[in-house]
Amino acid sequence: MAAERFLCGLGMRLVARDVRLKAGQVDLLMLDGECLVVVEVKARAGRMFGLPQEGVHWRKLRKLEQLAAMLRQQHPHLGRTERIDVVAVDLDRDGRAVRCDHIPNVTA
Amino acid sequence: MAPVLSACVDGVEARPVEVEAALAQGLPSFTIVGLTDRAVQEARERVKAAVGSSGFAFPQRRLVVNLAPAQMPKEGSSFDTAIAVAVLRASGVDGLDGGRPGFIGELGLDGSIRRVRGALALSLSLARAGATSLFVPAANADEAACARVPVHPVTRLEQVVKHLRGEELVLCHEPSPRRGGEPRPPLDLLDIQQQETGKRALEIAAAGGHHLLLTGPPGAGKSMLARAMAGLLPDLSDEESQEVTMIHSVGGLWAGGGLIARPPARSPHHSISSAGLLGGGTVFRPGEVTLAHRGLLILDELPEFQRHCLEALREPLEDGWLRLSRAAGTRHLPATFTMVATSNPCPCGAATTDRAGRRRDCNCPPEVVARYQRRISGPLRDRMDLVVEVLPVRLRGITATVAGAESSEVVRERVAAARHRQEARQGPGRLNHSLHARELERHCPLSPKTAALLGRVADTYSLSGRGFHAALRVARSIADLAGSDAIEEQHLLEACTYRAA
Repeated sequence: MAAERFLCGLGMRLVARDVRLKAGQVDLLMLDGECLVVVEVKARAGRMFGLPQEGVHWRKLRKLEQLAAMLRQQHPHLGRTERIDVVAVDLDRDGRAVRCDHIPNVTA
Repeated sequence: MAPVLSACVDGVEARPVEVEAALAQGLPSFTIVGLTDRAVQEARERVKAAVGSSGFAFPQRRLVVNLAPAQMPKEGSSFDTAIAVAVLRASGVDGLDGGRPGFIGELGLDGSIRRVRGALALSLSLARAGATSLFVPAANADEAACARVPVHPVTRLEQVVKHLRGEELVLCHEPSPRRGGEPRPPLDLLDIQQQETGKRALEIAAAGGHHLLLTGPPGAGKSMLARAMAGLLPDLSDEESQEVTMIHSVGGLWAGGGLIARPPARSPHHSISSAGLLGGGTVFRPGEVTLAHRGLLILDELPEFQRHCLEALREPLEDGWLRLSRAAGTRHLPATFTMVATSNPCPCGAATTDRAGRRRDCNCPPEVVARYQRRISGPLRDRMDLVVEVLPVRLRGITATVAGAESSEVVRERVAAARHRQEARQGPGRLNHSLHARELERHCPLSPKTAALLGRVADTYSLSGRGFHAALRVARSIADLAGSDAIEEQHLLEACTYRAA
């Protein structure tokens, strides 16, 4: 929810939350102008195991690329291009978001 | 931002490499590009851990390190320190870009800096590339100091950073005196009984850098003579010592401090492959002929070596260089060595005359003897400047020390004096063996009488052109040992006896 608010604050429009397809699941689907954005939200409490964004490995990215292509095919009217963003969320002990970090276009 | 200077071992030399690092937007990642091998790729983990252990934050962004020139294959762990410095600079650590220092060293996970292979070659190439100072692992400092550039010996990554930022200086290394490269003392001539002809041949071969073949029955002492030759060679000159240290350090055989002072003596087993002898491999390693540069290549039991290995020796025996052409390119390798070979006259080894002139009982059929001797091809035999038959020792008196026998040291001094004469006449590092036909005319003038004598010998023994020149070179060395400027009749006659044997 914090990530959604954060991105809306950056001027992006929400299309759908938690999109579930046979091939997998997309956390947030947004529009940034004419661009369809597939957003992966990664949250971690504490830095013991590294930054939250370090948990987005190449297999997950491959899956997200596949999902983005499928969504574009199913909904051709949504935007002209697509890209994949990651939002890293730091949580405190009670699970509240402390900080959000937006990394645009991670597969470029 | 200026790139960080480092270097990479290539053959028996090294080439400068520039390391640059760039941070970009994106998921955290660390990529190294520039035709790297596994060891360089693994540097990612070493650098990441070492930067962390040295108290710096590793950048949590997309990080790309480029090693230039991009088309040159790079191998080894000598870039680790340079990569770490480039990464720290890119991540915004200030004060790291003063001057134009060169960095070599392998990193440990705890931020320590470990020794590398080929430190001398790396330092020399960095000095040529214009590095104003060098940061090298403390374990390699003695070697690197020969490059005549200020050397900062370092053991930890944070030392490098602190020095560059002017917080805590690392003092320049004072090179320690040269140390010898002889792991165990070679056999002394005093350890060898009798065999005066053999010892004399060793002395001549050592003086002029002539190739020597010792033949004789088993147990006569051929191998002992060959091993004793190492003790007859004088110490290396400064330039020679630098060349030899560079090669041995690249070959991973020299881990001591400073320069190698004694000429190398390599005695590979006869099962050696041609890549082992000449050098090769996907990651190039110098072969035995290059490791024997400025020293001895001892080939014990010459006929037992593989034929194609022996034939490959023809060019280096003659030119002192080796041109090695492979799919990856052509290399010019130094291979100025003196070869000392031993062989039996036949498979049973007894086909020889004893001191009384009787044939010992050899039970090999003549064609077997001929076939055995054919294993050393004509062209190779022709390149042996001195061929000496080592006769069986007289068993009476073998335990007693002969009065008047000379130690290796005495002979080595004579050899050094003879070499001194040669260098004064022919230029530094030029021994009689390396004289060309034209130089022979100038440095080996013969009186009409001696010239006529040489002509007669050449006719009688049907010497080849090469054999003719070799006899002249050997005669020159004998004259040098005798301290004579002119080649006298007895010098030439002695030279011819070694040729005709």
